[in-house]
Amino acid sequence: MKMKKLILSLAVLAAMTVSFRAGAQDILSATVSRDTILIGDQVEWKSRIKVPKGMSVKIDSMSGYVVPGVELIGDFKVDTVDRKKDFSMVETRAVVTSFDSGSYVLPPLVVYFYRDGQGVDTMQLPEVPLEVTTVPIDTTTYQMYDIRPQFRYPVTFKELVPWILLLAALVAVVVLTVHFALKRKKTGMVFGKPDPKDPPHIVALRSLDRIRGEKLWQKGNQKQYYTEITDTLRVYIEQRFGIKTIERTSNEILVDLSVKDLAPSDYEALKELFGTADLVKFAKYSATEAENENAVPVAVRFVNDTFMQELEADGKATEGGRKDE
Amino acid sequence: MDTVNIKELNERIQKESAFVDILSMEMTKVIVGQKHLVENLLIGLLANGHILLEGVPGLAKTLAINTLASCINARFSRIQFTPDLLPADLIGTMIYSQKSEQFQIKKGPVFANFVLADEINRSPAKVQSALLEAMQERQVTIGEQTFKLPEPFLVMATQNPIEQEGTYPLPEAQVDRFMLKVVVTYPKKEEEKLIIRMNNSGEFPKANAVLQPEDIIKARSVVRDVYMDEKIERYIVDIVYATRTPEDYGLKSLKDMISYGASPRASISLAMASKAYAFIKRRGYVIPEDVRAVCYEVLRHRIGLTYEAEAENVTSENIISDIINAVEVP
Repeated sequence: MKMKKLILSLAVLAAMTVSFRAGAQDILSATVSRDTILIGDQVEWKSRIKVPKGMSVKIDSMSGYVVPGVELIGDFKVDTVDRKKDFSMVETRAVVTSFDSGSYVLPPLVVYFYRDGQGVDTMQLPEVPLEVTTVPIDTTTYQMYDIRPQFRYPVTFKELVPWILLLAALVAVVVLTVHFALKRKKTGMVFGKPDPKDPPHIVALRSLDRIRGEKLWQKGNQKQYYTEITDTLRVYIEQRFGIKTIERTSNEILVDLSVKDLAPSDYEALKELFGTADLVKFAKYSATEAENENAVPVAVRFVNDTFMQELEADGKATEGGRKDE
Repeated sequence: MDTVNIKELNERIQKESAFVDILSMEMTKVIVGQKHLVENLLIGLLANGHILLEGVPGLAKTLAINTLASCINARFSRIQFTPDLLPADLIGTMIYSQKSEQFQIKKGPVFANFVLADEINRSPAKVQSALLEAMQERQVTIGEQTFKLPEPFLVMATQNPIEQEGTYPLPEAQVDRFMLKVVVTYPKKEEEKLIIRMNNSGEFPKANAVLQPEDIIKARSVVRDVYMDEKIERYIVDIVYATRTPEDYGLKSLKDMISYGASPRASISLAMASKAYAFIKRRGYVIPEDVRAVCYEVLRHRIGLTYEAEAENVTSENIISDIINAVEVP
């Protein structure tokens, strides 16, 4: 009885093995994405194994050179890609390349089948031919070329950004420096608002008032009295009429003023005052009391009249502008 | 007290300077135009300063000096400076007299009230030095004897700015001895027309002697008395200093243009010439206008220009203009 059981088991196992072997073509396949490649090209070496239900497989993985001349790039990957009722599909993938032309045969992969941890069968995947060709050279029209120069990549905006920012910063620094330098030159200050400057007539009137208060001629300082009056008027004329006066003589100033729109009485009064002042300053002239008393009022009148004249001229210009509108 | 003096001085000058108009009138009878030249000759005459005239040929330089000399009843001599002229030809020499068997002194043409040194730069340095020494010392030594030159003694030298070949330019130190350097320019169109007419008619007016040398000496003493205020003195010093250190007067750009500035002799000359100008204008005191009026004539030959200035065509006149436009007027 026992003997009968053993013979039956062996018969079943043999039958199974025979049927498994008979369907090997369906079970295993191996391909490459292209069978001919150029030197250095890469090709995918793929194989598929149909694993019946209840069985498992083990494949010898590989690394480095597959065969001499063909090398493996990256890892040898094994994955289950499909699962059916009766079987599952296992796929192996690898990328290979070659840097030597010739005909190669990718070796057969060995697959070990297991059931319940027990080896059942060993099968080989089919060999795959691979042709590696080189770049064809037309020797009839062969021409030597020089080594190509170093390739210059075009400059991108991204690369320029830091330089643009640096340049902008430099320009800003220069502009600010010039601005502050000009401000300092003009106002004497670097930061903050300059003190509002008094108009020339206010400055002149204030100065003339001070001269009168100092009672210089009464104290016998006639020369200083006339010098200060004429200096005040010179500064006023320079600021009011834009005439250079500090480096000019009285006559030159009067010549320049004669072309300005001055009231004749003001011009004559100024001429007389400058004349008297020159005599006092340069000729030891002792001015009369009346001349001394009149000097400041004449100067004040000149300042006021010329200022009023300018106001009137401004008023007329504004009215004219309105009429035009 | 001072006030009275000025008043008196003004009156005195009004009186003493009356001859200026007569002299000018006499000179303009002969010289057409060249008012500036005539005015500067008078300044030199009154300020006791020698004059260097510069101008192209034919601008009446020699005629002007000749006329001035003939207007004043004084001795006039003209020396044409040539390359072979010797100092003895100028100042005189000792000649052996066979009759007296002694050396006798023969005075040269420099012994005159007015000496015209025509084309002074045509003679070598030793002759120029002899004249310039006489100008400075106002005396001449011949042999062992020293002779004072007559008063008034005025040297008027001319030089030609063109034809520089074969000339001996006056050294700076010697040019400085001339109080004024007057640049004579071409006459105006109307004036030139008059000159043609005068020449065509063949009648050349002659200047009369209207003054005696003593009048000039007297006028000179009055000129010396013309009042110059301390403010004017300071103004003169400022102008002269500005030729030396222009950067102190806001004229930094002139620093590289001036190789040397005006000497203290320039300050003295500027003061004296200003006084003479004030006198001509019938004033007993100097005003800044007087200083400015004579500034160019006094300073133009006393400012040394650098190569940089010459390369940039900057003249001493340009520099003087910049200076008087920068120095504060009192």
